[in-house]
Amino acid sequence: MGMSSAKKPQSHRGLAFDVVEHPPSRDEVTNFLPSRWNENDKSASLELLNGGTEVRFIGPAKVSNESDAAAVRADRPMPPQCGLFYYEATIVSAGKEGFIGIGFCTEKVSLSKLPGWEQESWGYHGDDGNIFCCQGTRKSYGPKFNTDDIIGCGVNFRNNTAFFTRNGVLLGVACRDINKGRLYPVVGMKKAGEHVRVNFGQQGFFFDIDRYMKEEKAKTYEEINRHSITRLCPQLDETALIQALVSQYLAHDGYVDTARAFAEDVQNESQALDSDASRLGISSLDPKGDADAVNRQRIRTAILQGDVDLALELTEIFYPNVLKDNELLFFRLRRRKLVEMIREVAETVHDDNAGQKNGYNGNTRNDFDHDMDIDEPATSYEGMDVEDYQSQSKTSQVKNALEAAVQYGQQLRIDFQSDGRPEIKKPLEEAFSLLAYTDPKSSVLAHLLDEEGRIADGEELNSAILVSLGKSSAAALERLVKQSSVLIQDISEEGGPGAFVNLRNDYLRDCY
Amino acid sequence: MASHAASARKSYASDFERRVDEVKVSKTDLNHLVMNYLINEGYQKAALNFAKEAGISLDFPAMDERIKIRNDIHSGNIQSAIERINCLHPELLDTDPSLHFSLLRLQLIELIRKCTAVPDGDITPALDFATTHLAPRAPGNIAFLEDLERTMALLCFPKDNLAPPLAELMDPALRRRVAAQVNETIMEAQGLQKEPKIRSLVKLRAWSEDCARKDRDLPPLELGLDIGTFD
Repeated sequence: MGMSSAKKPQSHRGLAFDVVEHPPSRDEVTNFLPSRWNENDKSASLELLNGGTEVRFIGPAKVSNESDAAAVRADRPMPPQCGLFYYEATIVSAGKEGFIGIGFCTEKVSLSKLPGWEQESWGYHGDDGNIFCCQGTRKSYGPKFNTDDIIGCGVNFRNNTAFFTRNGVLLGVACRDINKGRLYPVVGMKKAGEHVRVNFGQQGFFFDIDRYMKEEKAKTYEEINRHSITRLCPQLDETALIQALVSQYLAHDGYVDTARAFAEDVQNESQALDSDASRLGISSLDPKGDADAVNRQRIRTAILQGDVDLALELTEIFYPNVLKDNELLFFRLRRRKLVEMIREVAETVHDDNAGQKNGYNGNTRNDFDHDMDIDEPATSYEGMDVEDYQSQSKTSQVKNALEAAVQYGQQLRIDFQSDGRPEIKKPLEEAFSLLAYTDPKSSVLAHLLDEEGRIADGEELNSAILVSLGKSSAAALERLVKQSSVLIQDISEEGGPGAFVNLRNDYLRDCY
Repeated sequence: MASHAASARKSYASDFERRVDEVKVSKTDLNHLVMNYLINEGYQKAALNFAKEAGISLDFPAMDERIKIRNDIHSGNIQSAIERINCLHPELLDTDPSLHFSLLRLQLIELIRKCTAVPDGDITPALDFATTHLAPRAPGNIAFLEDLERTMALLCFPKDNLAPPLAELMDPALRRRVAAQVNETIMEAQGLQKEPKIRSLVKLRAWSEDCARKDRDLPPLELGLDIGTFD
């Protein structure tokens, strides 16, 4: 009875990509994963088939020593920073006795024994169902292998254990305290007729590795959530610490009204609770006294509303050195203005186009695109219907706005002509190419017009002002995220508990 | 060899700060993290202001009732809170006996607080409440039983000289905890995350530092919160 068709395989790539904290690109990941058996790292008694995915015992049939066997390692080691590595081997033929061992080992291990017979080698053996860990220890573990069985081998780098599966069933922890050397998947065999096919994740797995992964991840997250936060700030309990972080973030980044409202909300809550309101120091949450915060708020609001001129003016008044000292920032803001000018044009055109598509009369206006061509502005307006009068005045409005934008852009280009820095050239070119589209909002460059850009520029300016005031450019909350990111990277480097943690996906994305 | 290791440690420490500075964190992510917190904890005024100031669209179920329930519990009006919960999500307390019990016990504590506040206060309302509402629920559950016994002990001791486990019951922190539990359960019933992400994030930060310190020479990590101004 064949087992392999009994269950639909899941699609899983062997490595849990999403657990890498700073994920390399998919190609990079694939390039360091085991992908096949290694032709140059095998016993002469073995033959590889099918592009190195299959291995077969070819002899000599007689061996001198009882423990002599033939093994082959995979082409690459399993990367510990993935947290978990899993692969499956199908027993194409178990031969007469099933002298097949499946497991992993370091590169030092000889290839003349079954996995687990030597130091730094671990394996599950098909002839007796035993586990062999590093030479000495043998223990009874699972069933023997038969032809058509699918044997899975997983290494959990979080807790340094290994497990095996048979036909999709988890057989439990097989070995512990696996050392953290470079571990290669390995298969060994002993008798003619023995034949194994491997799946390093190119195909779906028979075992539900996704579920296993989820459960392992949940264990890590439970551990994290039980962890005490006292070390962060012994003076404050968790609730107060988070309130302080949020309040400082709001004040630091110039969300003055929110900071004030937050202080009120917290105070109301504390009063209802009848607890010591002064514990949080409500007065310090009240940013009224901080004139800078108010100024920075006004500047940010101006940028968020697309009024770059006002933002520049206010910055010039309150923080005259900021723009002088940050040429790139000054450029960035002027480029923002250019984009805003183009946006104004774009919005008029876009609304018009949208209106046209849903238009009641269904007239096609093929010449519209032509009209918008900036090289040849307004060539065909004679003979327009009276009804189009409104659209005509709009069109001349568009034309004027467009001319102003071009002029502003040209001046900007002149001012930064001698500056070849890519931070200047590229954004400027991009902004200019927006002008090439009749409807920039539907163009490939539409993202330049996203509101997100305003937010980013506003934050950049805010940070620069903070630095000029001698304050840290990052709020405590931001710093906390940054520190966490580096810490997790470090503690997951060699596997270990951090390997299942993903800061961005699990803590920052899809917040609400 | 040893000096090599020492210098490696030193450069790890100085490298660490640089690497922290180099991490890019999206302001949008941070703003959403804060918004998630304000909504989850029911800081309505702040949430409305933040939506405006940070340019975030505000799209979440109304939180007025959730806030009223929280305020009721915080100020000890447990009866009113239970009525509001039953109005908002009629099945909520029926399906969560332990939450229901927590609320009823808090209500009992408030009744005891009232009668022990004055000399010779009438303890009949507290006793009646315990017999009618809590006693029938307790037998099937050891935890309920113990909680009830502990609460009743409040009647036997003078209120200004309570042993720590009893004093804990009179502490406003218990109201806060029960209110938080109720809030989480309502959030879940509304299909939202029961805990604000910033809470897990803070724990993650503490946990990862403790893990890293086990075998690394980390420099001291400052939060950058000027706590001095907070006391």
